Amino acid sequence: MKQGQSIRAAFEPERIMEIRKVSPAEPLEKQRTMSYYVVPEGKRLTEYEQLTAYAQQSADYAGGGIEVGEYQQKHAGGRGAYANETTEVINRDWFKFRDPDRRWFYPAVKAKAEDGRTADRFMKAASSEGLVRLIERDWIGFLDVDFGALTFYEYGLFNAHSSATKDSISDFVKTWVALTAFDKNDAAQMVQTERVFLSKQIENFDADLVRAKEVWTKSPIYAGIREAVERLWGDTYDWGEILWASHAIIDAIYGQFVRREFFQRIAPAYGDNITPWFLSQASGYAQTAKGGVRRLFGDNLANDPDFGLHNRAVIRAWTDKWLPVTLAGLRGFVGIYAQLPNASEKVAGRSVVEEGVERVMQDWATDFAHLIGYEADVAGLVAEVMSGMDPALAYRSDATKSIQPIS
Amino acid sequence: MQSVKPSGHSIMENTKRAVRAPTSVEAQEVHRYLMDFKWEFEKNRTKYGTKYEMANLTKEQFKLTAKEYARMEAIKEERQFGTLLDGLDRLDAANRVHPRWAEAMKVFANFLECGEYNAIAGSALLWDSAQSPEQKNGYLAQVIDEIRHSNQTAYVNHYFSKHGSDAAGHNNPRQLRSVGPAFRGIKRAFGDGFNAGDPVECSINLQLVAEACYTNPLIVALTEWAATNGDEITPTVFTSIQTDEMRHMANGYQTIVSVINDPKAKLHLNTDLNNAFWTQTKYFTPILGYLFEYFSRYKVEPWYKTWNRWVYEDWAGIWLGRLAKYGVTSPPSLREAKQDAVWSHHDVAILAYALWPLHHWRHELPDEVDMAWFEENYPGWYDRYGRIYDEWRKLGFEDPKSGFLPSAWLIENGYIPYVDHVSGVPFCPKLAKGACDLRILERNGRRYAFSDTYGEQQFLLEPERYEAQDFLTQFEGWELSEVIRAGGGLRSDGKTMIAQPHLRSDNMWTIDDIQRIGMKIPNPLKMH
Repeated sequence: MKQGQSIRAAFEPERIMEIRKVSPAEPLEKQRTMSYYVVPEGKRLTEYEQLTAYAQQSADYAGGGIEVGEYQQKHAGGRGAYANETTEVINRDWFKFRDPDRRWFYPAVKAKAEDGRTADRFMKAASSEGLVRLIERDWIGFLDVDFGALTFYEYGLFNAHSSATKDSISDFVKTWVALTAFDKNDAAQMVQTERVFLSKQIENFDADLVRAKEVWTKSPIYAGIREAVERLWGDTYDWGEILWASHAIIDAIYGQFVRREFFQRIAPAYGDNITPWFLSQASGYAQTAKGGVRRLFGDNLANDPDFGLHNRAVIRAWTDKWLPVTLAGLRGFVGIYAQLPNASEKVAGRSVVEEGVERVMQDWATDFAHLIGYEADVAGLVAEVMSGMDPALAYRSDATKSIQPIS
Repeated sequence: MQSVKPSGHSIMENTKRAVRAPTSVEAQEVHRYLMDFKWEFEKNRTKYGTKYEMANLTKEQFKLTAKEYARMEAIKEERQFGTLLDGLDRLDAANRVHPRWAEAMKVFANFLECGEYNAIAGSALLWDSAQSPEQKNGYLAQVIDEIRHSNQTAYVNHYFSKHGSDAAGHNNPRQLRSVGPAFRGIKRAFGDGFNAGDPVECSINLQLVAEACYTNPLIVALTEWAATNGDEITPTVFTSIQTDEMRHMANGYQTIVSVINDPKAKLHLNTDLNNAFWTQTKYFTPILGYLFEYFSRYKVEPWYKTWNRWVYEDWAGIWLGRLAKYGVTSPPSLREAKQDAVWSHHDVAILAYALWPLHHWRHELPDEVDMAWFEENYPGWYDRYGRIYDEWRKLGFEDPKSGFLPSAWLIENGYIPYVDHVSGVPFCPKLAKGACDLRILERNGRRYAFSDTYGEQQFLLEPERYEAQDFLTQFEGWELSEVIRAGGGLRSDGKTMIAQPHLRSDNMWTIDDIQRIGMKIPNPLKMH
């Protein structure tokens, strides 16, 4: 018989009978749960746990690894593929981490496909009713430039996850890191999706990123946060630090403020109800990431029975490193309020902005600082950010004009 | 605040005529801007460096956004799980599989999972190293694909655990493989080979050789062997996996395109390709042939023909032919590989039978029908291997009360088995008909065995990358039942072994039968 010509036994009566004849009358084994030896997080082992646990061959000297002995091939110099020395934090058992959303491929991709279909329906409905007509002309420059700059921020954070995906020491962690990175990539692309959507409906609105990139790379408004993103992407090697700095500091503070307190709050004041809708997906992804970060860095690392104290000290040190650069980034960004033309005090007044900053900082303290026993002076942090609204520090970033300080 | 003239609430003058027509955004309309997502900055360097220089402007071929990717993949998942959990469940498909083949899937599904899982890290390594945003996007899609494939292959074991006639071995392969000797080779080729090394070298291993070459026999040919042996579950999953593999092969192609203008590529590329081909073929050529031919009741065709079609003609001929314009040449080890395609799986099979208590599958000796097929297709097979199987059968290979262990027989009769240190594949120089040339090296007080010069050269150039212990060194002096217990090799009654030398429901070996023999693991390297 040749390849491609063989009989499919399931449809061949004679073969069916032959197979039946040699098959056991009763099952030979009663234990039918795959990976039954894994300790479940809840009462019963979930499908997510069965499919994920110990898929990664971490050596037994990595916390929780079950591979006896060494890696068969190593990096030049002798380091194994999944090595303890890729992060300063230590876990008794990296395989105990569970994504609170229990994402494996199918549920994760199904959820994102639903998001995609929802976005498609939204765009068709919003364009059918001509929602863009409500947008004030003055806001369009911000959508071109500052909203475009958000693409680079999200894309930079996304790329910081590449080595974290490679290095993470267990399957549960790696799957979560990869899917979280995928969300960040999606967030960057969805900003551009909106810009393409607008370009189809607004004359002279070009979806290209030329001016947005010029502002992202040159404007003092973005200098602080851009440096933070660049350091994380290009110059941070510890995968634990990358995850903590990305999601527990930079995105929890800067990302939350820019998405929620600036665009989602300001855009409707200029008649733009499209941008808040688009950003709601990225905000949702950030909240999903928050759940995983809190579980990993709180339950698993800060509370590790053997290494909790060590881990808290390390994570606090990371916080000391990344909090100032993130605050500098946000301090630079709030200078943007000075550019808003005819903005209502109700959305752009100093006290309102301050309330927004305070909300973000308070959320950050509750969600992350407390997790590791980090003393956060919220009022002091808010004041530091708000100094960016002082007139002397305010710059305009609107590249439709020239980039220059406001006189 | 700057004073700007109020603009009012109408921007009608700025809107296009079709402003109230329903419109949406296609993935391609977003993807075309992807190359602009990057900006230059001083410290923009990769964390995993490569000796090659990857170009800034390399494009990818599939041009997917995250949302479009999810849309496409979700449909595939819905179809696959619908078929498995609705259609095939109703047909009791797991119990229509020939028991021999169901045992093969304990190995295939789990060993492929090893490759898929480690390719997550391998693709992430490339995403880190690539300079071009499109190329990064292509590698990212592969990262997510590999999560899919890892879950899918695990699901095959999950499915057989839940529905098949022998769940043992399907329900804990990850535990069993962590100790067992058979896993070392796959871990080297499909694990560390994908993610521990220079990123371009890993890409060549993963995308240019494993995916472009070996996924065809491993995933495509396998579905036919499965179906002809009553297994409709595996084709449902594996063909769905293969729909993603084309994207990965394209990633491999683009890796080569991205480095080819670097003058260093001319120095290293063909050497890296030869090492990668040797690494992959050293394991897959014997293992695939062994699993196809020795675990099937109904054969499709001799393995060397399948190998010749997919590896020699399709990959070495057509696929590498496309890369010839970039200076890529056929690997020198292809010649030995072609010889191995005829005999090496038989060489490995006899050692696999000899080590049967250490596996996580049941395996019956070739019967008369098999032997006739082997002799017809591999003249001389009986004289080299068949007569040994017949002798083992007479000595009580299947009988738990016989006290017979074929591994002990091999050593007593001067057939000393070794483990090739770089590939992790066991070999026996006295038995081998495939390419085999025993070489033993000593370094830092330890001895290492090699079955050919290709692996030996890799070791000599970078010994620190390959200094792991092999199975026989690691467990030297252990009593056999201790190793089996350590690996979780017992069924849920705590006594009967998962591995069996036959497929019957009666006369199954228990751990006591092994313990009674009292065999200690030898270290052949100390016999020299």
